Amino acid sequence: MEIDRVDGRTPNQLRPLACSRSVLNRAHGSASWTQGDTKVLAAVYGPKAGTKKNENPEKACIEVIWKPKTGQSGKLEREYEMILKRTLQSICILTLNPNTTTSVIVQVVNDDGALLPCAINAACAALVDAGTPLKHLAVAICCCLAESGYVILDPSKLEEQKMKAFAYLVFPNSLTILQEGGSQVGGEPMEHGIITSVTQGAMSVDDYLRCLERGRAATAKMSAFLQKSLQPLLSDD
Amino acid sequence: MAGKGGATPSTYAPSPTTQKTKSLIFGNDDVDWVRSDGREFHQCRPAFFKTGAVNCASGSAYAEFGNTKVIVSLFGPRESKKAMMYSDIGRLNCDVSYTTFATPVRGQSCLGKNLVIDPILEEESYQDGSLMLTCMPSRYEVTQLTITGEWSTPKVNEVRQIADLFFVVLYQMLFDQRTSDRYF
Amino acid sequence: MGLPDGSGDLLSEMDGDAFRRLFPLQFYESHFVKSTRPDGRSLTEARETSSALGAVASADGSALVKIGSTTMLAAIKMEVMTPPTESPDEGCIAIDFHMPPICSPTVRPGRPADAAPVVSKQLSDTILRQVNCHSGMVNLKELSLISGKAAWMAYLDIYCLDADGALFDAALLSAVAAFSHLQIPVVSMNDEGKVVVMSEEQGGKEAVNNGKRKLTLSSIPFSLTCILHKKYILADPTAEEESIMETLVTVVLDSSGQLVSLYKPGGPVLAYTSVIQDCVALTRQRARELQAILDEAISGMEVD
Repeated sequence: MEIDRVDGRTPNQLRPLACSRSVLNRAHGSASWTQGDTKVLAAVYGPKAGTKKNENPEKACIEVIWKPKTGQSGKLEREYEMILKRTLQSICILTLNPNTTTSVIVQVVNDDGALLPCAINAACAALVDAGTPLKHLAVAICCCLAESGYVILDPSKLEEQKMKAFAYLVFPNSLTILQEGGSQVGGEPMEHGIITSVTQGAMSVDDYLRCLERGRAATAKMSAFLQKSLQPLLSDD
Repeated sequence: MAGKGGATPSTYAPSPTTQKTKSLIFGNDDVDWVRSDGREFHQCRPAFFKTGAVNCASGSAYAEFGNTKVIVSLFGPRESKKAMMYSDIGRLNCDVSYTTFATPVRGQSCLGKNLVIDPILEEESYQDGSLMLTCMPSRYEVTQLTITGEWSTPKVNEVRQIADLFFVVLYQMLFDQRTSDRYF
Repeated sequence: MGLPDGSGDLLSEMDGDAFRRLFPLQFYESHFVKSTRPDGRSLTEARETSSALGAVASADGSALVKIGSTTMLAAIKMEVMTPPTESPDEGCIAIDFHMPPICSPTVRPGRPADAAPVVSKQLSDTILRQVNCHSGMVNLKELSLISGKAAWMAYLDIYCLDADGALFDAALLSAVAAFSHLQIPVVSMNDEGKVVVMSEEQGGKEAVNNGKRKLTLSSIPFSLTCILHKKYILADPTAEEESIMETLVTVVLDSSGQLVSLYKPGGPVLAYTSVIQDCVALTRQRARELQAILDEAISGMEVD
C-alpha cells in the first residue's frame, strides 16, 4: 500500500514532536507543544477562588480561552474552547478543589494542520506543569481519510485540505495513574475509550472505526513521548 | 478547514423596489378606500392566544394578530445581583428582540380621515398618526397611552370607545382559551 | 455526588419531587434500572417529533420543528450577491443559530448563550460539509443565477424558542425542513442590472431562473444525540438529563448511510467501540423516523 505524502512521510508517521514545559514565567503552569510546523502555547492560571455563573460550585471549574494566531475570536474559536474545556474537565479531578476556577489560555503560534489536537496536547502538558490534579493524561491525534480510502495520521494543513474527511480523536493515557480497579473496563483497556471525537466530512462508519484503530495505535507512541517530557513532574506526584 | 466562511459578501433583497404609493392604497377619495386585506376600518385581524408556549419558562404565552406573531417567556423571580442596592420591591426586566425575518412594529393608528384599528405593516407606514392604548379591563384603568401625530379630542374619544369593546373580547379570549381561534 | 450514609431512611421518607431535586442522579438511576426514564420513555426512545413547514410568511422557506418541548423555528431568506471570483458559478449559504432569552432560564438578556455559536458552527459543518469541495446537502451551483454576475445568498436563521435538550438535533431537522420548503422566487434582471422578483405586470421580461424554484437536496443529514452514563445509553436527552449527566455523543448520518459527524466533546464517560456502534445503530433507526416525519410534512404541503 503506497501513498505519497508531500513531506515523504509514511501514512502512520507523525511529524517531529517537541514539548517544553514552564516556558512562561508568570503562569502557574505552561507548555508549548509542536507537531511539525504547528505550534501551540498553553498557560494555566489558578485555581482562583469562586466559580463563574452557571457553573457548579461543588466542583472545580475550568475556563478555556482560545487565542487565534491573528484576528478576533469567531465561532470556530468558541467551538474549540468548548471542546477543550469539556476534554480537560474529563481528565481533571474536579472534586478536589470545589468552588475554584482554573483558567487555561491557549495561544496558537502557528497552524499547519491538526491544530485542535495539538492544542489539547499543549493544554494537557500545561496542566501537568501547573500541578493540577489529573485522573490521567489525554493524548490527541488527527486521522485523515484520503480520497483513495487510506488513513493517514497527523496531516499538515496542505494534506488536510486535500482529504475527504478527518477525525480529531482524544484518548486517555493511564500509564502513570492512580486507577482503582486497574485500567480494564468491560474487557477493553481504558486507553481504547474515546474522550473526544470531532469529525469533518462524510465517511463510512467502517472508515471511522479504522481511523479509531490507527489513532489508538499512534497515541501509544505519543503517550510515551508526553510522559518522557513530563517525567520529572509525574514522578513527583 | 473553516472553508469559505470568510467575510460575507454584500447582498440585497430582490423584492420589487417600486413601492406602492399612498394613493395606490387609499385611492383618490380619502374617505372611501378599502384595506388591503379586505377588513373594515374598525375590524381587527384574527387573533390567537395560547399560554404555556415555552416549557422551560415559569410562565409563557404565544400571541398572534394576523401575521404578527410573538412569544413571551417569563423567568424568575431570581436573586438580584449583589452589586445592586438593596430594595424592598422587586424589579421587572424586559427584553424584546426580533427575529431576522420578523415584521416589525404594531400599534393602533389613524389613516386619512378614518380611524383604523390594528393596522398591518403596510398601513402603518402611511399613517398620519398613531395612538396606542393599554389598559387593565378588570379594573377599567388605562396603564399606557402613546400618541404620535395630530389627534383631536373627539378622535381620541372615538378610539377609547372602540378600544373598550376590543379589550373586553381580548380579555375573554385570554381567560377562555377554548375560543382560541375567534375572529373579531 | 454520593449519598450520605443512612440516606436509605431519608429516601423512603422523601417525596418524589424533593428526591428528584436533591439527588437527581440517584432519581434518574432508579428509573434506569427499570429500563425507563422519568418522562415514561424507554432509554433509547426519542421524544415525539413534529415538523410544520411554512410557519413564517415573510420568508422564502421556513419550518417549525418540535422534539418533545425543544422548539426550533428556521427560516430562509433569499438575497442576491455578486459571486466571488474564485467560484463564479456558485451561490452561498449563511447559517446562523440564535438562542434568544425566551428559550431558557440560563440565557440572560444582553449575554449571548455560550452554546449558540457552537451549535451554529456544527450546523454549518454538517450542512455545508466544505471539505475538499465535496458538496453537502445543497449543490451550491444550483444557487447560481448569472455566471460571474449574480448568485443567491441563502440566509438560514434558526431560532431556538424552547431549549429542552438535544438542541443540535432539533436545529438540524428544522434546517433540513426549511430547505425542503424553500421556494426560490422567480426573478428577472431589471434595466439597472439588478435582479428583482418578477411581478405579474412585467410578463414581457424573461425570468433568469425559469423552472428552478426548488433545490435538489442530496444526502440529507439526520442526527441523534445520546447521553452516555455508566453502561446506559440514553437517546434524545432533555435539558434536565443533559445537566445531570454530562457525556454527550451526537451522531449524524446522511440518507445514504455515510457518517457525516461523530461528535463527542469530552465528558466523564469514555466511549468504547461497542458504544459507538450502538449509537450509530440508534441514529440509523432515528434517521428513518425523521425521514418519514419530513416526508409527511412535505406531502402535507403539497395537498394544500
